[in-house]
Amino acid sequence: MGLTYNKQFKSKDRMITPSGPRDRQVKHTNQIMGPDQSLINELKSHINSFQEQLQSKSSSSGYTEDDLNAEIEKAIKTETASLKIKHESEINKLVSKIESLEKEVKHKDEMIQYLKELKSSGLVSYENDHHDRTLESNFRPKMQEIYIDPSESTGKMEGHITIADEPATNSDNMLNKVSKLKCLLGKLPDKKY
Amino acid sequence: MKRVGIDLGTNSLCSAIAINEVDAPTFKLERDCFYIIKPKTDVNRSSIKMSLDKRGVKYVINEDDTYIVIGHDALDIAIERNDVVQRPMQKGVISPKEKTSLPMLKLMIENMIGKGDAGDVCMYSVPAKPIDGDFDIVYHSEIMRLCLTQMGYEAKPINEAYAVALSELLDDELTGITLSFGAGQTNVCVVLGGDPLIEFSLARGGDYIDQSVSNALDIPCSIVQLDKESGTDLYNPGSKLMEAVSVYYTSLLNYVFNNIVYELKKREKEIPLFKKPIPIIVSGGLSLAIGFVQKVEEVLGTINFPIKIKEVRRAVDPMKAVAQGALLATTI
Repeated sequence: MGLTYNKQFKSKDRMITPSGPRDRQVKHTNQIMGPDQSLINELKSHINSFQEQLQSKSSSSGYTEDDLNAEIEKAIKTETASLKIKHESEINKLVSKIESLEKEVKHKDEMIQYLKELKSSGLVSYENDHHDRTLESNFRPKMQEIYIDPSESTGKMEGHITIADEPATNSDNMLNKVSKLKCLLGKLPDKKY
Repeated sequence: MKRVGIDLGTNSLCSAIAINEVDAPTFKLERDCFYIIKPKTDVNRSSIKMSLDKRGVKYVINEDDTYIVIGHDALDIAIERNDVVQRPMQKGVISPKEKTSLPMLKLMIENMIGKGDAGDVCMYSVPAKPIDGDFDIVYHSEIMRLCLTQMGYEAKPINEAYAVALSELLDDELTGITLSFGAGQTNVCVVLGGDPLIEFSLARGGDYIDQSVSNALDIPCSIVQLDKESGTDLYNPGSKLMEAVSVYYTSLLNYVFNNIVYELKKREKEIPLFKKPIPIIVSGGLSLAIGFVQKVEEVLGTINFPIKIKEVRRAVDPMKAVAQGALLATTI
């Protein structure tokens, strides 16, 4: 029976280190093999155990990564198809509406011209009282303005009239005036007198 | 192609006729009035005719054998007989009530401009809508169109004051204020680059002066008119009558320019910003008075005119400016 002592015992002042022949032998073996090798072995064993765990988990849920991608793609296709079927009727309605609007747009220039003509003839009025402004064509016949010469016939008048020409004063530059006027004014302003 | 511009005034008619654009126009001027002489017997009828022929006056024998003297001679004969002349137009327009006057007006116009052929154009002056009266401008314009069309012309109306602008503002880029002082009305036009922005008329003119002086001095209106037209010097009146004429000239000018200011302020939004001061052109029979431009400048000095004025200028020929402007308008 030899003396036993706690090799791990540490005092405050000194540390008892293993220094017997067995300790030296172990130390020597460790020096040959290297302390890292054991660590590597330990880590390898951990990796192996994790790999086993992972494989067992994947196989237990039934999906691999590729399977999962395929499933997602399939789900998207299915959902798209169901939505398409669901909203197809609405889409068809909208397509037909777009077609009719396109037809109207084709005739917009003609419509604008027509409305302009109506407006210039005073036959169109806007009703502002309603929220939706409506275009109302008023084709009510208008009274025609007729002017009759009130004078009697001048056929039986016997004229003794000769009106003499005035002496020309500033008429020599008429051509100049006409040229200036044509330069300044292309046409007379459109006014009703 | 004959081109005609005609100024249809209350007191006088003036026509400008040109065959081509390059031709110098021929002007004709006649007083727009007539006087009817009714013979009492056959002997009287022949003596009246002899007398009229001897004097060389312009007259018409009507279907009822009455003699109708027209133009300036009518005024002379009316004064001799202590009577007054008749006018086809009142206040610048034909009166629907004056049915007997219209044939006379047509006759006078036809004698001035002759008959038209296809393609001949006639621009005739019309007043603007009065701001101080109620006249049927549309009736006047349409009846004159009818008359001129019957004479063979393609008839188009033109505003009287705008015609003055076409005649007198060519060197001012057709920008300014033109006034036509006639017997029945005063027409005003504010023009910018040839565009008539504001057009209106005032129912006061030479007749207002004649009537006012006649009332004030108890003198027949015709005599006042003849004296006034024989030569008026507004700053040197040689008689009591001329003093009164000068006073009423000032009164009329004050009325006209104060109303112009009132209208311009009222239509402030319609008036553009003029880049530089603009000219005022005065035309018409009243502007012939000596000192007229000075009087206008004097009146302008007393009021706050809303537009900067470069100068007050009389038309080159105040009696022919409207007809010349109307003639020029036929070329564009």
